[in-house]
Amino acid sequence: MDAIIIGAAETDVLGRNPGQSVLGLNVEGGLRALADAGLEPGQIDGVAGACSPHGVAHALGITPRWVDSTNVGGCSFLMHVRHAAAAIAAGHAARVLVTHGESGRSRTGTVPRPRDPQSWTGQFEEPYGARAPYTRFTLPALRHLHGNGLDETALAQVVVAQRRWSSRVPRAGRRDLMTLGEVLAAPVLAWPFTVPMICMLTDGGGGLVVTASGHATTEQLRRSVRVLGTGENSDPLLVAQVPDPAGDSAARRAADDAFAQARIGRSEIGHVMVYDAFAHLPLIGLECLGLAPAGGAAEMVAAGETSPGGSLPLNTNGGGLAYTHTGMYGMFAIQEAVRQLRHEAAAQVPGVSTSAVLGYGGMFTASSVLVLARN
Amino acid sequence: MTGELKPVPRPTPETLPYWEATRRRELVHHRCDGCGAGSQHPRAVCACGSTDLTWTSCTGRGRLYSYVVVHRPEPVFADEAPFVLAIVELEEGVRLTTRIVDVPADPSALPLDMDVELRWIERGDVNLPVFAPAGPEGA
Repeated sequence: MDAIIIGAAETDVLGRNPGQSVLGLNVEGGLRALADAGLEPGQIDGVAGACSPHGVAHALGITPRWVDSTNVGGCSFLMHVRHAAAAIAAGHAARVLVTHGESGRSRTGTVPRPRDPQSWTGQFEEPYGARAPYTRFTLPALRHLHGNGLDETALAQVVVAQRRWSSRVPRAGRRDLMTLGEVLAAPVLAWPFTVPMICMLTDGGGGLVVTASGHATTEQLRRSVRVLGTGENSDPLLVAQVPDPAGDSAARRAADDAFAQARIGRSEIGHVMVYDAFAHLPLIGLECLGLAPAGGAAEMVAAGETSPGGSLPLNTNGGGLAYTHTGMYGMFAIQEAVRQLRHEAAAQVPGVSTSAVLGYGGMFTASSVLVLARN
Repeated sequence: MTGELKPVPRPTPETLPYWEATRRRELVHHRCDGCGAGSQHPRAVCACGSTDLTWTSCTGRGRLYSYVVVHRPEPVFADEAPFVLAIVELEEGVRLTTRIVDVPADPSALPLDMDVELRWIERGDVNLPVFAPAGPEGA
């Protein structure tokens, strides 16, 4: 496939920003991505986002020939890149802007989400007190740990490893190194999950510009990142009904499709981003990506293989656990992969040329994967 | 007493038989007569392609598949914390989100794969199926 990312940028502020609305964050993310690509809004003919892409288009003075508002939760933006690549190949658009913005912390300009007692979750989860993501997304974690002879220490190892990255990233929201004991002794929100095992809650956004090499200038090609393969998939809407979190799951099926299209082997991957709203996801995600043997991810993390200097650098911005998490982290996972492949990251992996990005959405019930390479 | 009431499920036409059964304190699942697969929430077509799906009674026995112990719930559930929010896998192979009750909210009392059996809690005009550690056989 011929799809490349020629613009990638985040909003100036990641963290607390009550002065900017959800729409404003999307617009800023879009404008900064356009500036990064050296483009004007008028050169964009496709717009995608999980929050009102037609509103974003209007705010930017764009009249799009193609619009995608897919929203399956936090991995939506990986799907937008996939859908944009297909639209460009079909001639429906030449240059697509993907934006994200969310006022996850300040709730400025956020559409309220009232309870819906007729929804699946309103009928089958919320009456039990399962509403906050840390009481739903997390439900399969103990099964995965138990099935592999692990306990909550494996979750704490993920935090320890990712703080080694975030401590090197000035924009990361949580930058203190932590010991295993400190992670395990932190306040419990939903056992086995303590506060550092649960993502941050921030305001922020970002944007991406996707095109094909035939539409790009020499300067755009120089810093571009190639999309080698993509995949997307979904499971039943209720987390209890996901067949097997690390085996038969949306993430594994999406990963298999992405690697089949990318035509590169797992051993060629030099950098990984796994959507980590919670500390069990990097473990399950590495196994779904086929980058760790079944049940073997925790051992890799504990051995330092995913830490700075290790063989498989993982979540090199600190991840949703330590960098930022607006509520839909997928945009930021892609941003870090692009920075690493452009060799512009704060905690740069030397010589990295390939990256796999795995996103989760819904309450662990949707997934999308991108395999990216330095162009 | 003031404040928000605990959420009550509101059936749709598809789920009405499930919730009506709970009023009789009967747990049902939507079962495929073709391949035998079941699910808690109803489907129009089974993954095997069959449209012969019927609401079928469950034995009420199952095992503890996975769980979290919720220490900081949303405010309307604060009076129940800590509580055990769980996935139970029924004998019929169906999994559902539920609570484990009549047991300390302590991991040492909650080994995975523990046998559990059906209990009910009243909620509005329906009942919610929850589970407790199973008693000895024949007790």
